[in-house]
Formats: sequence, structure tokens, C-alpha cells
Amino acid sequence: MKDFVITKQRQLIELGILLACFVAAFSFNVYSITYYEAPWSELFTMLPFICLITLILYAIILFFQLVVRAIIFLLFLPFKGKNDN
Amino acid sequence: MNRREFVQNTGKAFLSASLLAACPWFSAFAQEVETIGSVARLGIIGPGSRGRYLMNWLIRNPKAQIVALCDDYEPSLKAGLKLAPQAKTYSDYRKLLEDKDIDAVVIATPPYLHAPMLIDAFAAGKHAFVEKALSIDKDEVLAMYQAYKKCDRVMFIGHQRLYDPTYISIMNRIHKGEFGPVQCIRTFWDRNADWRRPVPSPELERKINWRLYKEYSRGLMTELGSHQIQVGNWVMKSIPNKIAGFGAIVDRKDGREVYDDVHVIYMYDNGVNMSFASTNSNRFYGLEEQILCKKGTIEPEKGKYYLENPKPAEAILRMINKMERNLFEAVPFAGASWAPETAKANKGEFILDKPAKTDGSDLLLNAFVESVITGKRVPTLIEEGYYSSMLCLLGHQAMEEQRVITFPDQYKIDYLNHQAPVSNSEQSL
Repeated sequence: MKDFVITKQRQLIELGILLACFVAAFSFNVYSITYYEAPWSELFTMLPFICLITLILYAIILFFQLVVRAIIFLLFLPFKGKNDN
Repeated sequence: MNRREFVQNTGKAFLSASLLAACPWFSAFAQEVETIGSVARLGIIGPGSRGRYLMNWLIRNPKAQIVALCDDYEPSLKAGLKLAPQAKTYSDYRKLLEDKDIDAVVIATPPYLHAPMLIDAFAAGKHAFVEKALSIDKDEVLAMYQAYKKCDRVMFIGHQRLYDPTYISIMNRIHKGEFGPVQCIRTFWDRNADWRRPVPSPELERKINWRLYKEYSRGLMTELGSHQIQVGNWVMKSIPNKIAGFGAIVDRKDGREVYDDVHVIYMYDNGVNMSFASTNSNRFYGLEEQILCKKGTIEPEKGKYYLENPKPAEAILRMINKMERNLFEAVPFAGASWAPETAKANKGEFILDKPAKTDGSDLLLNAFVESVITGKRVPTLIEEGYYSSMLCLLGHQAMEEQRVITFPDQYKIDYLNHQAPVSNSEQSL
């Protein structure tokens, strides 16, 4: 069985994606506060909810990443067999 | 619960000075440190179900010592002795009152017996705690109050909501105007329980089932209504002057004489109405005092209040809700949004941060014990009890006579918006 290695580069990329998700969620909160003229304290009081949105966004992106990888894997599977020979 | 715990329970900002200003009956605790080590010797007149409920609180207070019990019904006496096994027993309350080793009495007999017991207790130099309602007769209620005013003894009445942290907290906020002016008050107390108790022999029927007969009882008004009428007056800081109502025996047609369904309305001078409704045959809504103000509604029995314009949900939740609505509004099968635009619109807010540990009964009795030891009376407590009793009886009268009653001048005392006529000081039993 082949070892599954997450390289340092991959880790950095995933952290970057997670950070981008957080920035997106945070920005969405800023936009909502501006739109509804809500108190700016909600930037802090809603942080747990922002973290939850971050995780959801990241999970969605991760899902699509895995789907793309699965498709690529399946597409190149016939050619992999020939090369091993 | 002691006073320190009470202050912690009602909230951080409720300092002693403001508590006393809002609730002067708390002055009983002014010397609770100095009274440590002192004991009030109590005689319980009527250790029936209510009497034993009070005893259960008293035996937890190291400053209270139950030294005597009195009841002419042996089973109640025996049950009372289980809580105070060292107590002397009497079957005649007058003999108990002769006992010099008793400082105060707790009168927990049916209301129709209260008047002579209280007046005799004062004559014997005893302090007294009397359960609500004061009496089933308006002249007796007035005579009891006059006896209290003429003597120097301490008197308490069983209106425990006056010592309930939930009520004290919310009354403070109502009176400060947080909820705006009061619009109306709806009180109700519904039960699905038969008051009729089994009797060991027919001749005890009217003694044990006294609640069912007009000779001894005013039914739902005095048994239940007095508490909520007192709450209404407390909210309004006023006494209503118009009373109307209807009552009937709708379900429990078993030979009883008192109504099992009552509806009474009390109108205050500013037009605010307070209703009291009670049925003995349905308990779905239980009990509540719904205080409807311009800016909010208070339900103290539930421990909650509901603002007319509750704080909206956080902006991000509203935005998600908006996006969801825009996305799904053309799709008829989409359900209600999971992110409501106005959060907590129906759930309300709790009056206290933590549920109160007491309904006020223990504090009320502790205050009584403190007052007995110091010999100092507390202001306004008896006036609150007087008017709740009197209004119950006037409500009953309104139902019996099926007419609007104006509060009679002869029963007014100097309290809030009422002034006593000069002749009241000359009346007696």
C-alpha cells in the first residue's frame, strides 16, 4: 500500500485556502454589518459563527478538490496500467 | 435563602438602599446580623396542609422554634408533630394564646377563622403571621386591620410574591418605566383538581371540605385570586375602584356552593383593567399574571418578559436569511428559513440571569421571624394584604350581585390612592 504524504507545500496551500475562507467569511460579516447598520461589536460577537462559516467553505472547497482529483485519477487510470508494464 | 443570597439572585445592581426603597417590607432584615443567636418561639394554629408547608420552611431557620401546635382535627395535629415533635399541643387556640412561652403565632386555618384568632392573638400580646386571605367577611377584614393598627405587635400576611426575587426584580424595572406604561393586566389561575377531599364520616364534610361552602369560603377568589390581585396592585401602585364579574358552577355539580369558574374585572382610576379568571376544570394554561405594557409584556410566573420590538438578529444571520429567501422564493416547496430575521421574537428574555431558588415563602417567613425577634413592624405589607383580601371579597360580591361595584368608602384605608374615612377608626367587631 502506498504511503499518503502531505508535503509541506501542500500544507501551506491548504492553510492558505483556509485563511482565504476566513477572510471571505469575515468580509461577508463586514458587508452584512454595513448593509443592516448593525453595531460593529458584531465583528467580535459573531466570530464563532464566522469560524463555522470558514470551516463550511473550506469543507466545500476540499470536497471539490477531492472530486477533481478523483476525476483525474480515473481518467489516467487506463494509461497508468500500460506504463507499469 | 437569606438576604445575601437574595441580593445575589436578583442582580448585581440591586443595592440594599434601592431594595428598601422599592420594597420597604425588606426592612425586617435590617438587623439580621444582630439577631444571630436569638430565637422566636412560635405557635402554629392550624397545622393542616398549608400550615405544614409553612412549618417545613420554619424548621430550617435556626432562629425559629416551633413550641406549640393547635388544631381541633387530630390527624392534622399528628401530622404537625412529625415536623415539630417537641411542640406542646392544644385543641383550643385560646389556650395556646395563654402560653407565656410563645412569642408569636402562625395562623394557617381556613380564612373564616382568621379574624377572632388574630384579634385574640394581639390581645394576648402575641405577634402574628396570618395566611391570606384575611377573612371571608369584609367587616372582619377591616376589624383585623384596625386591631393591627391599634396594637404594637408585628403582623405578616402570606403574600410570598412580595419576597420573590423574580417579582421584585421585574417590578423594579416596570416602575422605572423600562416597559412603558401599563396597558392592561390579565391574571388567571386554572387547575383541573377537585377540591373535594374524602371525609372519614359525614359530619366532618363541612369541616374538611370547607372550601366548597359559602358559609366558610369565597372559593376561587380568596383561595387563588388574592395573590394575583395583590400583584396587579403592586404593578399599578394603585387600588382599583370599579369591580365587575361573573361566576358559575360549570362542571363540578356535586353539591358544592362556590363557583368553579370565575371571571372578575377590576378597573383602576386611569382606566387600566385587571382581570382575574379561574377554573377548577382545566389546567392547560396554568397560572400567570400577564402584564401588558406599551413596550413589552411580562409573565413573571414563567420568569420572562417579551419586548414589543425585540432586538433584531445579528446582521450576518439576516443577510443569510435574505439570500435564502431570494434564492428560494420562486420555489413553492421551500420551507421556512432557518435564520429568522428577528431573533428571539417569541422566546422572550429571562427576568433573572439564573432561575430564582425560591418563590419567596422562605424569605417571607424568615422576615417574620426577624420581625418577631426585633419587635419591629415592616411598612406596607399589611396594607397590600388588606387590599388583596378586600378586593377578592368585592369581586365575589360583584359576581353574586351581578352588578358593577364601586369600592365602598367605608372599607378604604390610608394607602396609595385611597384615604380612610374618619368613621373607620371607630368600627370594631
